[in-house]
Amino acid sequence: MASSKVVSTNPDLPRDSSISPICSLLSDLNPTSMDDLLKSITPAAKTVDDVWKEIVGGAAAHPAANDDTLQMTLEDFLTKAGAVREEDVRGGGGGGGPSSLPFPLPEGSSSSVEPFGNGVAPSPSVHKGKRRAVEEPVDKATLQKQRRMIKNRESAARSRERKQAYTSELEFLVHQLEQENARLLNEEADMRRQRKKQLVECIIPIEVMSKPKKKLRRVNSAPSSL
Amino acid sequence: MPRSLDPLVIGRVIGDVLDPFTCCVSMRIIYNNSHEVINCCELKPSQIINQPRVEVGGDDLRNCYTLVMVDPDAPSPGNPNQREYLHWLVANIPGTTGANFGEEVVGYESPRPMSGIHRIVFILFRQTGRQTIYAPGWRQNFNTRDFSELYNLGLPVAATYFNCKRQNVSARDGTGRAR
Repeated sequence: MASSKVVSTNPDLPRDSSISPICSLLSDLNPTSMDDLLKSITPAAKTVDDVWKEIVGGAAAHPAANDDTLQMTLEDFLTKAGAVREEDVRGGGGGGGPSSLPFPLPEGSSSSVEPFGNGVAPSPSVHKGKRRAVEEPVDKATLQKQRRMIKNRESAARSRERKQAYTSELEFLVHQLEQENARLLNEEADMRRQRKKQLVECIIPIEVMSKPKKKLRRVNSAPSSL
Repeated sequence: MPRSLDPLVIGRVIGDVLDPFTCCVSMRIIYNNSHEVINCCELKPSQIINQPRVEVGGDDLRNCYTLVMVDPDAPSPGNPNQREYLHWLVANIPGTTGANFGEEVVGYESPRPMSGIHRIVFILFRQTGRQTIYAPGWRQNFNTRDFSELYNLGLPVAATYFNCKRQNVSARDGTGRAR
């Protein structure tokens, strides 16, 4: 469940790299050509691309929506893949079904998976080590590692979101405050101009009313008439 | 603000908790008279022990508002099986006043995240009139959308959120290095 969540919600992964793990996984188990394999898996003439487009289309339409539905779509697809492929390999075996998903599920029952693994006997040719480990979900350590990797990826995505959201908020606030600042400065300049005008109007009467010049007068001394 | 730049969208608050809405009433949330909440800021549990001052905008004293405070990442963001955890619910807040003028339906419980970084979201709804809002039976698994529908509150008129993570003082090495 967690594994499919990564593939569906991580927007950073380009589509190709998201599909290739599934495709290489499938091709590893059955040496037939990719197209044949896909045709056998999806007899309803739906290719991987179609299903993937649906998933991505669904994600695009509801960007923040229901991870659950996306998970189920991918899981369903893998269920179909697992069930149908198993039948192909074992010639219509009755067992398996969803419980023998090649893609590790946390509660994958190891007993039903084992015969599957033996039955297929994947050709030990050009595999990347990681892909092989995924094919043998009995290995709990790898399961855990996978789970941890997925959780880490989600956590990283959340961290990036947080950073982006915070930056966005700050940018918005800066813009808002700059506008308010400009507005307030303008207002202040206006008010200052008004006040100055008022003062200038009041000043003129004062200037007109000048004090009469004081004439010097003798008070305590006598006129000098020598 | 265009949808794609809205922190509420980027931070997935719109999506996980709310539907897209148009903010039309101002709402200011201030803790301890010094920490104002802005979207996606980080606050420590020690700073949010007591309920914040909430200033509701609007222009009419007769309008009533409901404030909801939830944590959609309980108990941890990677596994939010208690989404959303209801921390506070105040109803019948008169416009232009604060939360302390409303009726506290669910008392303020200080968030104490145990693991991961939690988003704590405040949502403001405008009531059609004065109404009685009942407390849910329990705080966890609260659903803001359903709550709004139940009381006919419509879309939110304001929302904001902050991040909070566990404040750790490591006893082992005693350095008090924050996690």
